[in-house]
Amino acid sequence: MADLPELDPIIHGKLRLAILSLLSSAEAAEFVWLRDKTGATDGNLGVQLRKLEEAGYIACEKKFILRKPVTWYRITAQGRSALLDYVRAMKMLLNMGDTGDAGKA
Amino acid sequence: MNTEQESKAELLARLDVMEAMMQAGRRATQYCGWIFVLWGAAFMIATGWTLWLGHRNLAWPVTMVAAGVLSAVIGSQRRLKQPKTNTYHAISAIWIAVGTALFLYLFSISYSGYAEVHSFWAALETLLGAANFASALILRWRIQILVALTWWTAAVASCFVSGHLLLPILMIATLLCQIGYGLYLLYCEHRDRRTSTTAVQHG
Repeated sequence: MADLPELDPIIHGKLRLAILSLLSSAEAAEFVWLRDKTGATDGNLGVQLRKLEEAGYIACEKKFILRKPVTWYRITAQGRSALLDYVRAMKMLLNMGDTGDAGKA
Repeated sequence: MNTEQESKAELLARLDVMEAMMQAGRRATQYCGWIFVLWGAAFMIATGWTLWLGHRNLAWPVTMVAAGVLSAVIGSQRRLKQPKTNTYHAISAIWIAVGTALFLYLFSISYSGYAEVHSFWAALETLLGAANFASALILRWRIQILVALTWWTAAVASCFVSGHLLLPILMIATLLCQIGYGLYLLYCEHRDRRTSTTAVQHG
Protein backbone atom coordinates (compact mmCIF):
# COMPACT_ATOMS: atom_id res chain seq x y z
CA MET A 1 0.00 0.00 0.00
CA ALA A 2 1.37 3.41 -0.97
CA ASP A 3 2.31 5.83 1.86
CA LEU A 4 -0.35 8.41 2.55
CA PRO A 5 0.97 11.94 2.12
CA GLU A 6 1.05 14.04 5.27
CA LEU A 7 -0.74 17.36 5.48
CA ASP A 8 1.33 20.13 7.04
CA PRO A 9 -0.33 20.63 10.46
CA ILE A 10 0.61 24.32 10.51
CA ILE A 11 -1.27 24.99 7.28
CA HIS A 12 -4.09 22.56 7.97
CA GLY A 13 -5.76 24.76 10.60
CA LYS A 14 -8.79 26.32 8.90
CA LEU A 15 -7.97 29.91 9.75
CA ARG A 16 -4.25 29.52 8.98
CA LEU A 17 -5.14 27.95 5.63
CA ALA A 18 -7.49 30.86 4.91
CA ILE A 19 -4.78 33.39 5.78
CA LEU A 20 -2.15 31.73 3.58
CA SER A 21 -4.63 31.42 0.69
CA LEU A 22 -5.52 35.10 0.96
CA LEU A 23 -1.86 36.15 1.08
CA SER A 24 -0.99 33.89 -1.85
CA SER A 25 -3.21 36.02 -4.09
CA ALA A 26 -1.95 39.40 -2.82
CA GLU A 27 1.43 41.07 -2.73
CA ALA A 28 0.83 42.20 0.85
CA ALA A 29 -2.22 42.59 3.08
CA GLU A 30 -3.08 44.49 6.22
CA PHE A 31 -4.32 42.97 9.50
CA VAL A 32 -7.78 44.58 9.32
CA TRP A 33 -8.31 43.34 5.77
CA LEU A 34 -7.37 39.81 6.77
CA ARG A 35 -9.74 40.05 9.75
CA ASP A 36 -12.61 41.31 7.56
CA LYS A 37 -12.10 38.60 4.95
CA THR A 38 -11.81 35.72 7.39
CA GLY A 39 -14.37 36.95 9.92
CA ALA A 40 -11.94 36.01 12.74
CA THR A 41 -11.58 37.87 16.02
CA ASP A 42 -8.52 40.08 16.58
CA GLY A 43 -7.12 37.73 19.22
CA ASN A 44 -7.53 34.51 17.26
CA LEU A 45 -6.20 36.07 14.06
CA GLY A 46 -3.17 37.45 15.92
CA VAL A 47 -2.36 34.03 17.39
CA GLN A 48 -2.63 32.24 14.04
CA LEU A 49 -0.57 34.90 12.28
CA ARG A 50 2.15 34.51 14.90
CA LYS A 51 2.20 30.72 14.36
CA LEU A 52 2.59 31.20 10.60
CA GLU A 53 5.30 33.80 11.17
CA GLU A 54 7.19 31.50 13.55
CA ALA A 55 7.05 28.77 10.90
CA GLY A 56 8.57 31.20 8.40
CA TYR A 57 5.51 31.04 6.13
CA ILE A 58 4.67 34.73 6.37
CA ALA A 59 6.62 37.90 7.10
CA CYS A 60 5.27 40.92 8.94
CA GLU A 61 6.11 44.59 8.62
CA LYS A 62 4.89 47.33 10.95
CA LYS A 63 4.46 50.87 9.65
CA PHE A 64 2.86 54.12 10.73
CA ILE A 65 0.47 55.55 8.15
CA LEU A 66 -1.29 58.81 9.02
CA ARG A 67 0.03 58.30 12.59
CA LYS A 68 -1.81 54.98 12.84
CA PRO A 69 0.09 51.73 13.39
CA VAL A 70 -0.49 49.42 10.44
CA THR A 71 0.78 45.85 10.18
CA TRP A 72 1.28 44.37 6.75
CA TYR A 73 1.73 40.68 6.09
CA ARG A 74 3.15 38.94 3.05
CA ILE A 75 3.64 35.28 2.19
CA THR A 76 7.29 34.16 2.03
CA ALA A 77 8.83 31.87 -0.60
CA GLN A 78 8.87 29.15 2.05
CA GLY A 79 5.18 29.73 2.77
CA ARG A 80 4.26 29.61 -0.92
CA SER A 81 6.19 26.39 -1.37
CA ALA A 82 4.56 24.87 1.75
CA LEU A 83 1.11 25.84 0.45
CA LEU A 84 1.87 24.17 -2.91
CA ASP A 85 3.04 21.02 -1.13
CA TYR A 86 -0.13 21.10 0.96
CA VAL A 87 -2.31 21.33 -2.17
CA ARG A 88 -0.38 18.47 -3.80
CA ALA A 89 -0.78 16.29 -0.71
CA MET A 90 -4.47 17.11 -0.53
CA LYS A 91 -4.97 16.23 -4.21
CA MET A 92 -3.21 12.90 -3.67
CA LEU A 93 -5.41 12.11 -0.67
CA LEU A 94 -8.56 13.00 -2.57
CA ASN A 95 -7.47 10.96 -5.62
CA MET A 96 -6.72 7.98 -3.38
CA GLY A 97 -10.20 8.28 -1.90
CA ASP A 98 -11.74 8.44 -5.37
CA THR A 99 -9.73 5.40 -6.59
CA GLY A 100 -10.77 3.44 -3.52
CA ASP A 101 -14.41 4.25 -4.06
CA ALA A 102 -14.15 3.34 -7.75
CA GLY A 103 -12.56 0.00 -6.86
CA LYS A 104 -15.44 -0.84 -4.56
CA ALA A 105 -18.12 0.07 -7.08
CA MET B 1 0.43 13.11 12.10
CA ASN B 2 -1.06 10.97 9.38
CA THR B 3 -4.21 12.07 7.68
CA GLU B 4 -5.81 8.68 7.15
CA GLN B 5 -8.63 9.60 9.49
CA GLU B 6 -9.41 12.82 7.68
CA SER B 7 -12.72 12.46 5.96
CA LYS B 8 -13.06 13.40 2.33
CA ALA B 9 -15.74 15.91 3.26
CA GLU B 10 -13.32 17.69 5.56
CA LEU B 11 -10.67 17.86 2.86
CA LEU B 12 -13.20 19.23 0.41
CA ALA B 13 -14.21 21.83 2.99
CA ARG B 14 -10.56 22.90 3.19
CA LEU B 15 -10.48 23.22 -0.60
CA ASP B 16 -13.61 25.39 -0.44
CA VAL B 17 -11.90 27.66 2.08
CA MET B 18 -8.82 27.99 -0.16
CA GLU B 19 -10.91 28.70 -3.23
CA ALA B 20 -13.07 31.30 -1.46
CA MET B 21 -10.04 33.06 0.04
CA MET B 22 -8.05 33.13 -3.20
CA GLN B 23 -11.07 34.57 -5.02
CA ALA B 24 -11.54 37.14 -2.26
CA GLY B 25 -7.87 38.12 -2.56
CA ARG B 26 -8.07 38.52 -6.32
CA ARG B 27 -11.33 40.43 -6.19
CA ALA B 28 -10.18 42.76 -3.45
CA THR B 29 -9.20 45.58 -5.76
CA GLN B 30 -12.17 45.40 -8.08
CA TYR B 31 -14.66 47.23 -5.96
CA CYS B 32 -14.47 50.98 -5.70
CA GLY B 33 -18.19 51.58 -5.95
CA TRP B 34 -18.07 54.49 -3.52
CA ILE B 35 -15.88 56.56 -5.85
CA PHE B 36 -18.22 56.07 -8.81
CA VAL B 37 -21.20 57.10 -6.68
CA LEU B 38 -19.30 60.06 -5.19
CA TRP B 39 -18.29 61.56 -8.55
CA GLY B 40 -21.69 60.81 -10.09
CA ALA B 41 -23.38 62.60 -7.19
CA ALA B 42 -20.89 65.50 -7.43
CA PHE B 43 -21.74 65.94 -11.10
CA MET B 44 -25.49 65.90 -10.34
CA ILE B 45 -25.10 68.42 -7.53
CA ALA B 46 -23.01 70.76 -9.68
CA THR B 47 -25.50 70.52 -12.54
CA GLY B 48 -28.48 71.10 -10.24
CA TRP B 49 -26.74 74.04 -8.58
CA THR B 50 -26.01 75.63 -11.97
CA LEU B 51 -29.51 75.05 -13.36
CA TRP B 52 -31.60 76.07 -10.36
CA LEU B 53 -29.40 78.42 -8.35
CA GLY B 54 -27.07 79.82 -10.98
CA HIS B 55 -23.47 80.72 -9.95
CA ARG B 56 -21.98 78.47 -12.64
CA ASN B 57 -18.46 79.75 -11.93
CA LEU B 58 -18.85 78.84 -8.27
CA ALA B 59 -20.88 75.63 -8.50
CA TRP B 60 -18.45 73.55 -10.55
CA PRO B 61 -15.13 74.40 -8.86
CA VAL B 62 -16.63 74.08 -5.35
CA THR B 63 -18.32 70.74 -6.06
CA MET B 64 -15.36 69.26 -7.92
CA VAL B 65 -12.82 70.34 -5.28
CA ALA B 66 -15.08 68.96 -2.53
CA ALA B 67 -15.39 65.65 -4.40
CA GLY B 68 -11.60 65.59 -4.90
CA VAL B 69 -10.93 66.18 -1.20
CA LEU B 70 -13.50 63.55 -0.17
CA SER B 71 -11.98 61.06 -2.64
CA ALA B 72 -8.51 61.66 -1.20
CA VAL B 73 -9.67 61.29 2.41
CA ILE B 74 -11.87 58.21 1.89
CA GLY B 75 -9.32 56.72 -0.52
CA SER B 76 -6.46 57.04 1.96
CA GLN B 77 -8.57 55.40 4.68
CA ARG B 78 -9.56 52.53 2.41
CA ARG B 79 -6.02 52.06 1.08
CA LEU B 80 -4.98 51.13 4.60
CA LYS B 81 -7.34 48.17 4.40
CA GLN B 82 -6.73 47.14 0.81
CA PRO B 83 -4.19 44.46 -0.07
CA LYS B 84 -1.52 45.34 -2.61
CA THR B 85 -1.83 43.29 -5.76
CA ASN B 86 -0.57 43.71 -9.32
CA THR B 87 -4.17 44.30 -10.39
CA TYR B 88 -4.49 47.05 -7.79
CA HIS B 89 -1.39 48.81 -9.19
CA ALA B 90 -2.62 48.48 -12.80
CA ILE B 91 -6.13 49.79 -12.08
CA SER B 92 -4.79 52.62 -9.92
CA ALA B 93 -2.41 53.65 -12.72
CA ILE B 94 -5.27 53.89 -15.23
CA TRP B 95 -7.52 55.98 -13.01
CA ILE B 96 -4.74 58.27 -11.79
CA ALA B 97 -3.65 58.91 -15.40
CA VAL B 98 -7.21 59.52 -16.65
CA GLY B 99 -8.14 61.58 -13.59
CA THR B 100 -5.13 63.84 -14.06
CA ALA B 101 -5.81 64.16 -17.79
CA LEU B 102 -9.46 65.04 -17.13
CA PHE B 103 -8.54 67.62 -14.51
CA LEU B 104 -5.98 69.33 -16.77
CA TYR B 105 -8.30 69.26 -19.76
CA LEU B 106 -11.46 70.44 -17.99
CA PHE B 107 -9.66 73.13 -16.01
CA SER B 108 -7.76 74.49 -19.02
CA ILE B 109 -10.59 74.41 -21.54
CA SER B 110 -13.11 75.91 -19.09
CA TYR B 111 -10.95 78.91 -18.29
CA SER B 112 -9.43 79.42 -21.75
CA GLY B 113 -12.76 80.46 -23.28
CA TYR B 114 -12.14 78.31 -26.36
CA ALA B 115 -14.46 75.50 -25.26
CA GLU B 116 -16.93 74.24 -27.83
CA VAL B 117 -19.78 72.57 -25.98
CA HIS B 118 -20.15 69.44 -28.18
CA SER B 119 -16.47 68.55 -28.24
CA PHE B 120 -16.13 69.49 -24.55
CA TRP B 121 -18.65 66.87 -23.38
CA ALA B 122 -17.64 64.32 -26.04
CA ALA B 123 -14.01 64.45 -24.86
CA LEU B 124 -15.06 63.97 -21.25
CA GLU B 125 -17.24 60.97 -22.13
CA THR B 126 -14.56 59.45 -24.38
CA LEU B 127 -11.94 59.59 -21.64
CA LEU B 128 -14.29 58.05 -19.07
CA GLY B 129 -15.16 55.30 -21.57
CA ALA B 130 -11.45 54.63 -22.18
CA ALA B 131 -10.67 54.32 -18.45
CA ASN B 132 -13.59 51.97 -17.88
CA PHE B 133 -12.70 49.88 -20.94
CA ALA B 134 -9.04 49.48 -19.91
CA SER B 135 -10.10 48.60 -16.37
CA ALA B 136 -12.66 46.09 -17.69
CA LEU B 137 -10.03 44.37 -19.85
CA ILE B 138 -7.68 43.96 -16.88
CA LEU B 139 -10.43 42.69 -14.60
CA ARG B 140 -12.14 40.71 -17.40
CA TRP B 141 -15.41 42.25 -16.29
CA ARG B 142 -18.18 42.32 -18.87
CA ILE B 143 -20.41 44.69 -16.98
CA GLN B 144 -17.71 47.36 -16.98
CA ILE B 145 -17.33 46.89 -20.74
CA LEU B 146 -21.02 47.80 -20.97
CA VAL B 147 -20.28 50.89 -18.88
CA ALA B 148 -17.44 51.85 -21.25
CA LEU B 149 -19.65 51.29 -24.30
CA THR B 150 -22.37 53.46 -22.74
CA TRP B 151 -19.87 56.31 -22.25
CA TRP B 152 -18.62 55.97 -25.82
CA THR B 153 -22.17 55.87 -27.17
CA ALA B 154 -22.85 59.08 -25.25
CA ALA B 155 -19.62 60.57 -26.67
CA VAL B 156 -20.57 59.76 -30.27
CA ALA B 157 -24.13 61.01 -29.71
CA SER B 158 -22.80 64.25 -28.22
CA CYS B 159 -20.98 64.98 -31.48
CA PHE B 160 -24.21 64.81 -33.53
CA VAL B 161 -27.14 65.97 -31.41
CA SER B 162 -28.30 69.54 -31.00
CA GLY B 163 -27.12 71.56 -27.99
CA HIS B 164 -30.22 71.15 -25.82
CA LEU B 165 -29.82 67.34 -25.83
CA LEU B 166 -26.23 67.35 -24.57
CA LEU B 167 -27.08 67.71 -20.90
CA PRO B 168 -29.80 64.99 -20.87
CA ILE B 169 -27.37 62.59 -22.56
CA LEU B 170 -24.68 63.30 -19.99
CA MET B 171 -27.16 63.01 -17.13
CA ILE B 172 -28.41 59.61 -18.33
CA ALA B 173 -24.84 58.34 -18.84
CA THR B 174 -23.86 59.59 -15.37
CA LEU B 175 -26.89 57.96 -13.75
CA LEU B 176 -26.17 54.62 -15.42
CA CYS B 177 -22.37 54.54 -15.48
CA GLN B 178 -21.50 56.33 -12.24
CA ILE B 179 -24.35 56.08 -9.77
CA GLY B 180 -26.02 52.87 -11.00
CA TYR B 181 -22.73 51.06 -11.61
CA GLY B 182 -21.27 52.34 -8.32
CA LEU B 183 -24.27 51.07 -6.36
CA TYR B 184 -23.95 47.72 -8.12
CA LEU B 185 -20.27 47.51 -7.07
CA LEU B 186 -21.16 48.37 -3.48
CA TYR B 187 -23.71 45.57 -3.51
CA CYS B 188 -21.11 43.11 -4.95
CA GLU B 189 -18.59 44.13 -2.29
CA HIS B 190 -21.14 43.52 0.48
CA ARG B 191 -22.18 40.15 -1.00
CA ASP B 192 -18.58 38.91 -1.39
CA ARG B 193 -17.64 39.93 2.14
CA ARG B 194 -20.50 37.79 3.47
CA THR B 195 -19.59 34.84 1.20
CA SER B 196 -15.88 34.75 2.09
CA THR B 197 -16.53 35.08 5.83
CA THR B 198 -19.10 32.28 5.68
CA ALA B 199 -16.60 29.97 3.89
CA VAL B 200 -14.08 30.23 6.76
CA GLN B 201 -16.63 29.97 9.54
CA HIS B 202 -18.64 27.10 8.12
CA GLY B 203 -16.31 25.64 5.47
